[in-house]
Amino acid sequence: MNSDHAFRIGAGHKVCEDFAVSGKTEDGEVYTFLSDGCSGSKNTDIGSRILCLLAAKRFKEDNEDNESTFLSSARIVSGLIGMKTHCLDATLLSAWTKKDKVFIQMFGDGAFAFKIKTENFIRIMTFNYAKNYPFFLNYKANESLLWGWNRIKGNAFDFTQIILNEDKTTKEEPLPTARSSQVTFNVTPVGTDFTFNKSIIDFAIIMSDGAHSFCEIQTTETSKESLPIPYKEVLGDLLSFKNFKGKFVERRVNKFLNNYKKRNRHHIDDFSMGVIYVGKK
Amino acid sequence: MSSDNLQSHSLPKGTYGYSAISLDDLGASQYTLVTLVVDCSPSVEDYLRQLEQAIKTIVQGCGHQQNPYAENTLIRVVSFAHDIQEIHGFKLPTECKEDDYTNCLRSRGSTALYEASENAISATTDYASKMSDWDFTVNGIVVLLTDGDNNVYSTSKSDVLQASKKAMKTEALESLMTILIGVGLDDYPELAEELGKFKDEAQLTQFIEIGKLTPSVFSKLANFISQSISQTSEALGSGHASTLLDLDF
Repeated sequence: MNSDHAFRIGAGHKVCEDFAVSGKTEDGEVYTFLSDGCSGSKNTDIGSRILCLLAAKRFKEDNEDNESTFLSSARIVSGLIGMKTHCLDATLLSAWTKKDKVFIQMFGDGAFAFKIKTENFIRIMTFNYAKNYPFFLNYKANESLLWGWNRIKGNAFDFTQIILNEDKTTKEEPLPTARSSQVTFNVTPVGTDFTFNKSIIDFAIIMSDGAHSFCEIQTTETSKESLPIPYKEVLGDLLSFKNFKGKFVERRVNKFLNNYKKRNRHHIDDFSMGVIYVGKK
Repeated sequence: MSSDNLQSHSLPKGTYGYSAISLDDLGASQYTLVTLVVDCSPSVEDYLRQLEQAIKTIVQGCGHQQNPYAENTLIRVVSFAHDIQEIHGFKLPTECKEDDYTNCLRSRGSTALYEASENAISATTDYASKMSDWDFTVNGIVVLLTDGDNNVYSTSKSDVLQASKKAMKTEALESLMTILIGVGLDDYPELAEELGKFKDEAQLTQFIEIGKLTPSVFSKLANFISQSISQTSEALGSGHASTLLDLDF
């Protein structure tokens, strides 16, 4: 098993508000956590780091404390370094293995993906909020923030399953309604959990919503315009891992971004990705 | 020297290929490919042990635990005379043992400088291309050390130029620095001129002239090569070539 991560600042940002970590515990379990700080709140670059590093510490120490304790710890850390708790207005996406299971958890927007060993395609679950106000775990520790978030009109929660084939063709599919003994899940606007039997999973990916922000600069004699690149095209180009050894996500992201740069393509929003690799390709 | 865990690769031109660590065994995201090419013609016989010591110093420096690029460097060592002998292919310097270089150089006749240069540059380009296909970011540095002009004509300057052009053209190599070091030039001033022409005609990056080889010069030379390697490693990922260093005696 292996895990790796990468995060990159977007062209529209002065500070990268995405952060990601990954690693392996002494017991051999692998994990990755990533967080995308809200641009509307101050110092969320620091908040996203606090959330990821604290989540990783908690996981490595096999600390089974609940969300409330985790949030309290994060708020204490932010207070200790002179930050207001708004800095924790950030998504938190997690993927980890524990014994014979693979867990994926999401608070906020972004996407996760996984490949089942017996399938020759990747399933990508993308989560969006219509008004772009995602749910942040931090809201659970502040009733007025939670109340305010609940009152936002038209901020419907929506998710899509995209099937990405090896030849980069894609199609959308609904989530299966029948429960499987190999997979359990719970999808809600305030948090999503998927649990898989480890034996069926090849790899699992978590991604911030920065993957939606890729665009291509097209210039003519009289104009220069930035055209959005379809999300599914980005996924096809990004998720073509060559192997899963060492810094495999860093390598993939570097190559992908270099190739895009040559084609005048770049991302406006920060982008981050973490992957846990379980089985053989 | 044991190269059991290295895989052989052939090159389109010439008799000689190269060997390198399996891509499956590489874990970092980026690597600098370093090739040391050492002249072993009879005229360097008196200096062979000092040359071996210089190689040891350079490889040790690359693999030193305090070198932040130790895990991002792959080093290949080649000697040449009438033929080319790969002492070892591209491998992590942390896996190179100092003792492996004791008596690794053996004096032989003639100076196949062009063939050795072409092989070193082409091997770097070829392996970088294979690495790039696997998403690795790669740059390279080739150091050619000689005390004589080419006198084996199976390969021409033009072949070396083609290898240089191919290296510069390939997108697999972020940059390639080729340093030609001529030693013992005090006794042969015309050699400096010939090597200078070779540098220009083959579009090598830099030509360093060393008048006499003395123990202190060997030390400076090893230091210079180590620093050039460090600069190349530091430049990796920036999209630019590294800064040229001067060797002042």
